[in-house]
Amino acid sequence: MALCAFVRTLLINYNLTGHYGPLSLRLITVSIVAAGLYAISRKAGEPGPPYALPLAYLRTTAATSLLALLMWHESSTGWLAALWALFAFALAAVDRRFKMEDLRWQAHGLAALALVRSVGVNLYVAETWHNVSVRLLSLSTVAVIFYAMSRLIRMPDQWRARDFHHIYSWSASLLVSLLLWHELQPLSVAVGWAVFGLVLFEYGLLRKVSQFRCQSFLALTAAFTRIFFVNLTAGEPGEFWGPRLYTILPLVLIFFFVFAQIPDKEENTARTPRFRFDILLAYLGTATVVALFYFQFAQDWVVASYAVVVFILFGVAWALQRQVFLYQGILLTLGTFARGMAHNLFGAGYFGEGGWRGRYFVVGSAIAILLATLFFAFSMRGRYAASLGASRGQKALAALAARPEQLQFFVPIIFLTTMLALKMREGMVTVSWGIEGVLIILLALAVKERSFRLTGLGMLLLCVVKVLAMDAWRLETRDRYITFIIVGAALMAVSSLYIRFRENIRQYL
Amino acid sequence: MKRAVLLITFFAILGISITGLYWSQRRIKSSPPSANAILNMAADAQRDLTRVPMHFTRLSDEQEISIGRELAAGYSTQARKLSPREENLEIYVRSIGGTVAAHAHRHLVYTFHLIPDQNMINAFSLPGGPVFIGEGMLDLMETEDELASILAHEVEHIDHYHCVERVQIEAKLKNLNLDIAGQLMQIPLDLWQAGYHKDEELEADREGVRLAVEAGYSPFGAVTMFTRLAKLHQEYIIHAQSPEEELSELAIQSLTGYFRSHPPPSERLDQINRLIAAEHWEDRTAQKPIPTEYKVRGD
Repeated sequence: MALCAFVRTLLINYNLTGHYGPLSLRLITVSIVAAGLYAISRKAGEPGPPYALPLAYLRTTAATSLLALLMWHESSTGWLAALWALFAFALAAVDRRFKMEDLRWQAHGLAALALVRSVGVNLYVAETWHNVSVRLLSLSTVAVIFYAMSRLIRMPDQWRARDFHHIYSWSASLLVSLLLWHELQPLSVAVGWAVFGLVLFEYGLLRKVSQFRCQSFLALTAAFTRIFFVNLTAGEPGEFWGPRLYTILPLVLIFFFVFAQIPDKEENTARTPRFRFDILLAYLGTATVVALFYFQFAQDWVVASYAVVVFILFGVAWALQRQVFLYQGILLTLGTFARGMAHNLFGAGYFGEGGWRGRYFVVGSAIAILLATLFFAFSMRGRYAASLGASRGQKALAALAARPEQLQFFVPIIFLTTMLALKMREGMVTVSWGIEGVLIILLALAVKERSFRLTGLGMLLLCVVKVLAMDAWRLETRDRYITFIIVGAALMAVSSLYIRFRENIRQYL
Repeated sequence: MKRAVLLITFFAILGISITGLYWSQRRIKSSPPSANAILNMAADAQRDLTRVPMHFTRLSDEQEISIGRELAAGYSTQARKLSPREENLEIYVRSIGGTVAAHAHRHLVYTFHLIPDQNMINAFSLPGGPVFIGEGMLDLMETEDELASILAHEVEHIDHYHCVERVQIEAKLKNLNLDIAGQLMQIPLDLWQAGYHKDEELEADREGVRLAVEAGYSPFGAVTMFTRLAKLHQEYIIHAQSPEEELSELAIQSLTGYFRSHPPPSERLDQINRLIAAEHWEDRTAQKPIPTEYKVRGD
């Protein structure tokens, strides 16, 4: 009889068009059949023949199918996913209360349908309800129900232990992210995703749920990626405080805020020992700043802005004792060097436009700022060593991090030497190198560093060789005299410094 | 205490983010998604990396002139013969070009040629001196100062070694021997029409305006010309309406846009306006109209 009722309902009742009061006959009759099927299913569930339980499951499944189909007929396009999700939630709630396993599986099935419907149909719904987008309302409803189901749905303990119930929270987060993508202006999507990631992270931290934090990291990574497709090139030329700045700065704040809340060693990262999200976030934060500066400042000034970031990274690494910032500082120092050499020195215009500012000021500023990081670099000398099992790249980075002052000295010095060689008038190159050599020796005496002192001496030796091999024969008379006098004076000054500080030099030889 | 600080920081960051979100949502001017940021960075890196070896492998001016002559002769065979009216127009272009080129840093043999094609809204230059301008480009112009700005821009591409460096890079990529006659013609004409790297275009704009001003033309010729080009550019921008359209547009841009990393006209215009302000050229607004007999639209 139940089967007959089910088949007749499928064939006849969905086509009914009459009404009984405000309700359609289809709604009334199909609901009655479904209710009947639910009711008799529990009778069949009583202990009895072995086929009784499967029969009961079949009846509830038939009833649930009838109601799901009824919803399809009765609701408008935009609301069906929300109705199915609500129905799935109701089934899960009943299962939780009365331990009815069949309803749980039906809830899973309905939730899957609701998700497919949401992604396949609801994202493209353009209708409104009281001037509010149906897409926004329906997908928000589905997402909220899914988050609730991730807590409510019953599962075998071993499944729950492996976080299978978080399929619901992942689906909900996916829906929210897609909804933000569709509803917000292209420029706002990255900020929307980052705020969403922040909220997920805080909730995950509060409830100690690692899956929410994983979702948060994914949302934050997506936000970072997004800026490369809209935000970095947004705004008008010459506009400093524009959409680029006010949509990217919040991301930087969020990345570092989330990073700051993840302890260096904490219980939840133990679940993903191969991947450290805190490190990822620290790199995302710095990379966002680097990308922002690349587009925010005039091309020539990018190198100076990177040098400022290097200084800040070294300062933060020193103050907070976080190795990751030292590593970032080292990597960015190398990046600044590559950028400065390729763009500002070798890539510059051939006719020296911009006068002294174009020639020296920009690169000079970068060099000065990089040299200023020596203060922090000396303080961190020997503080960090390579961890066991580190890769070759990590070991190389660790070697640089163990003696950061060497890199922070040699990079600006090579930079300065090349700048003088390329930008100075030919006759003044040796003179400027001689003065540089003396200044390096003075610095070496001040900080008592042998490698610096040898570099200064090397510079002076190079000057002598250049004078003898090239300048003496090629330079104009005036430049030749100036070169001989200055280089000679530099050598004499260095000799007198050696005599004066002989004892000190012997101590740190 | 620590919890209170965290909570305050959280709400402060949330507030800043929501303010940013609010401003970006209320912004009237749309920012269409594009792969330009990545393309720009890739093109910058490529340009910077190729510029370093150029310092050590510079060709002599004589070599450059000979390459330019060979290329120009090769490409000229593809063009049709000029009509008497077009010949007159070319003489006019030559006179304006000669005036601006006289102030270039390098004293090369600058020659100016007309391409008799009204659909060609472009101008380009070859190493060593040859400059070509399409009839379609002339059609867009109203004043002699605009023509001077375009020709000066092309002269600066030659003057600042952009053209010859392009030949060197192409020769390296295609394994061409620049000393063997005929090998150069493997470099297609399209390469010169495609434009240069963003930095090079901006440099040619900047120095081109200087050159035009030194030759006695108004810097506002470049301003009016770029304003007109900006309008044309705006017409070609596709505005994606959904994430799906965004993705397909990005895919197309990524495939076609790598070597088209030109600065947008608005950025070029901004640079020229800043240059005019910095050099105090604001009063040099007077522009000389193109004589009626040389107007392409008069046909």
